[in-house]
Amino acid sequence: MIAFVPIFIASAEAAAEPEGIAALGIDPWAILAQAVTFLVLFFLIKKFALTKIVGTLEERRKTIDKGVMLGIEMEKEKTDLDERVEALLQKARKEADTIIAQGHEEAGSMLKEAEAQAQHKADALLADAHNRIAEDIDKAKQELKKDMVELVGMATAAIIREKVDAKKDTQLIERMLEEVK
Amino acid sequence: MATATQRTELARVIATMMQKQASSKQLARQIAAYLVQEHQTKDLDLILRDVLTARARDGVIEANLTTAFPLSAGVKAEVKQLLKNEYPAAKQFVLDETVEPQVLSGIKVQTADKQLDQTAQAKLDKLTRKF
Repeated sequence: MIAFVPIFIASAEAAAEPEGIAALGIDPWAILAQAVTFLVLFFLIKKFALTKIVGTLEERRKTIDKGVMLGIEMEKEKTDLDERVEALLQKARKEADTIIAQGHEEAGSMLKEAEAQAQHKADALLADAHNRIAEDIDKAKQELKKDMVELVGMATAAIIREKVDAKKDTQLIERMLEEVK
Repeated sequence: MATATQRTELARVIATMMQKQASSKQLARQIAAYLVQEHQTKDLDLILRDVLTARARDGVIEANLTTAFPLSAGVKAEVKQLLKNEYPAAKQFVLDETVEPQVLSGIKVQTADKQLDQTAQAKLDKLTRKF
């Protein structure tokens, strides 16, 4: 009903002819009535609706703020997490590099050791072979010497049998007995 | 096999019998029969050595002479002289000759406790053993 007040005033005034400031189309009573209507509307809305609306808006704002804060926090945590992950990855890469380097080193030293052992074995085999060859040569020399001595003995015996008769033997014996005296 | 004591005793008996008995063949037969009966034929060499030792103690030096050819009287005399120098206390010297062509030349004189081997074969054997 109050809303109709300005309409009624406006229609009454429309019947009258405008003067002074009203000639500009500005009606102070209408403005006043509108102001009063506005104030009444304001108080009614404030009493019945504004609190709820503001409360709801406040709630929504809080929720939004909360969400924004949470987002910011999560963003921050994500950044932290990314940094930590990156740090861990770097550490892991470093450790992996160290392990690989150690592995290479160990493999290298094992290879060197194996080479040295193989060389040592080869040297030992060679020395053993040399020794065996030397032994075989010595043995062959000994056998040859023995065979030669046997042949010399046989030849000497044959010559003695051929050349020495009873007379020569007697002379030999007499000489030997003379030496033994 | 007889023990050393038994052999020594037997050798002493044989040495005594050799002094008394003229026939060496008969003595040899008796000794052989005894050894066969007593199953001591394997000890013959040892017994003979013991006999020589026993005779040496009694002043009889028995020497085995081994040569490639038969010995002349002069060589035998020289050998006897050599034995006299070696055994001044001995009363009697008996020389047993053996001719073995395989010694080639020279002489080997063997008594109970000593040996002189100047044969060519011994020298050749020594040479062979050296190498």
